[in-house]
Amino acid sequence: MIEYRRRRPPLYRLARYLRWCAVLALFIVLVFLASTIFSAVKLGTGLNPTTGPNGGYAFHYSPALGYTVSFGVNLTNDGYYPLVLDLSAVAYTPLGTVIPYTSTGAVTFSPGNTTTEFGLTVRIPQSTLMANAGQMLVRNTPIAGNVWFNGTYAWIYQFGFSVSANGTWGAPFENLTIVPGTPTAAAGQTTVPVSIRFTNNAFFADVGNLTLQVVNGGTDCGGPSTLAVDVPSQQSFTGLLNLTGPSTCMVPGATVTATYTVGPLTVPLPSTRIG
Amino acid sequence: MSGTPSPAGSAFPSPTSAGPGGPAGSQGSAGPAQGPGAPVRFPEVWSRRHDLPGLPWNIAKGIAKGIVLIFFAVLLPIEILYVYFGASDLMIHHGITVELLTYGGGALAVTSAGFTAFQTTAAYGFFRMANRVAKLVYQYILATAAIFTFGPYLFSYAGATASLGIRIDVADIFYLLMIPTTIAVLAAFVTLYEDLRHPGERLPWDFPISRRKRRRREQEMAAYLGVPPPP
Repeated sequence: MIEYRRRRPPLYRLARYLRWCAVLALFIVLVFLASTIFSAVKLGTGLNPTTGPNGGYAFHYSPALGYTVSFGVNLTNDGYYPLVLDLSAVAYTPLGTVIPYTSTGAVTFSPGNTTTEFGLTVRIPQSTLMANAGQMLVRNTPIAGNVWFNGTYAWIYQFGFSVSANGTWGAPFENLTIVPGTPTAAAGQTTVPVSIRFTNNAFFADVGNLTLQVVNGGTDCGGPSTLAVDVPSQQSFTGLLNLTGPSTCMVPGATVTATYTVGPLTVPLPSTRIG
Repeated sequence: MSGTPSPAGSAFPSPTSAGPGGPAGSQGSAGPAQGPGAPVRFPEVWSRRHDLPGLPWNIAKGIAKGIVLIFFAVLLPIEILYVYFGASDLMIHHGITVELLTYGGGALAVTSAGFTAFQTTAAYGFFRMANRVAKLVYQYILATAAIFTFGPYLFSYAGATASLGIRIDVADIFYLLMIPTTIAVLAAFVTLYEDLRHPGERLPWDFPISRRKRRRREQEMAAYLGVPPPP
């Protein structure tokens, strides 16, 4: 009788085992890819960004750190694989960099329905404010910014968004004109009427205090005068403020300095000479 | 007595058989022993442990497989990437060129059709090896090119202009798929080595005789020997 069943040759067995291993590996890879897609759909529908305290953003000022704007959301990863996000931003004008390159770094959202805060703190240094913000308050300025949003999901999917924006910064005190009038003297005191005109080209209302001060040779001529302003966006403002000080100080050649104060922030504005 | 011709579609040497004549319709030449005391020789076909399909049939299967693969590996990707998405406003950019899809997918289709068409010959190992290596190289090139960028999309808001760009990198998918392909390359290498070192060794297991044909052969043998057929 013919013997049909024999033991397979070693090379044939080896090739067969390797083929089975390849099929098994392919099966595992395909199952993994399918599970990542399923998990991504689950994550997309259950991400549920919720804002943190202060409605998701907060402002803070300190002389040491400058002006900081923080915002963030809480994200819940209810998928099966980790999600890593990284957000960074930069903004600059012809006057210089307004927002230095700032990044959240790689924030990992672990799977398992855990909630992690994802936020970015943008800091405008004090030096930047003093150097450029004065000009940005009175001159419409071209501004450019970049925002990058990068992410990795399930270790293998990498994605990124980049937004480049070019626009014009609308100055809140565009074309600020401070015109000293004719001084009038009485009882050793001199009063200088100062007319103030500007247009609020910012997208927000000017709500703050405009403070004028006469300075002669580095000496303040009396106390400053403050004018509260509340000018809606795209509206012009015309006002008059009387500055009074010693007649010996408020002479032609003295300088009218202006500062704008909003909240904790005080920014110098361009000065004007009397006479 | 000289050996019989090789099995249909096989380039491997066939087992030598002896004996004149044989059952009608059977392949090979065999028959009852000639003269008293002569050794009993069975028809050669009874000694085979494999049942090879014909070469024309295999070639037809290979061509059909090649056509299907050309459609799925060449035409469909080109249609999707360059006709469908190319005509849309999505502004998709990637490194997967028409030439890459054509040559890469074409190489896969040709080599895959080849090892199907010549699976009963010594060329099987070469085609199998070529197919797996081509697949590995193709996946690697796809991995380096599989970065899709969308945009830039321009839009304006509050007087400012902005552009949005989106990037999706799926290279790691192809790197993952290279793992099973690498193992398959090893398997193909072993098969190629086996075909070179022991020609025809794999045929009885790659093309085993069906249970029905085996039963019929046993009945023929029983009738030939004049013994009752096995139960």
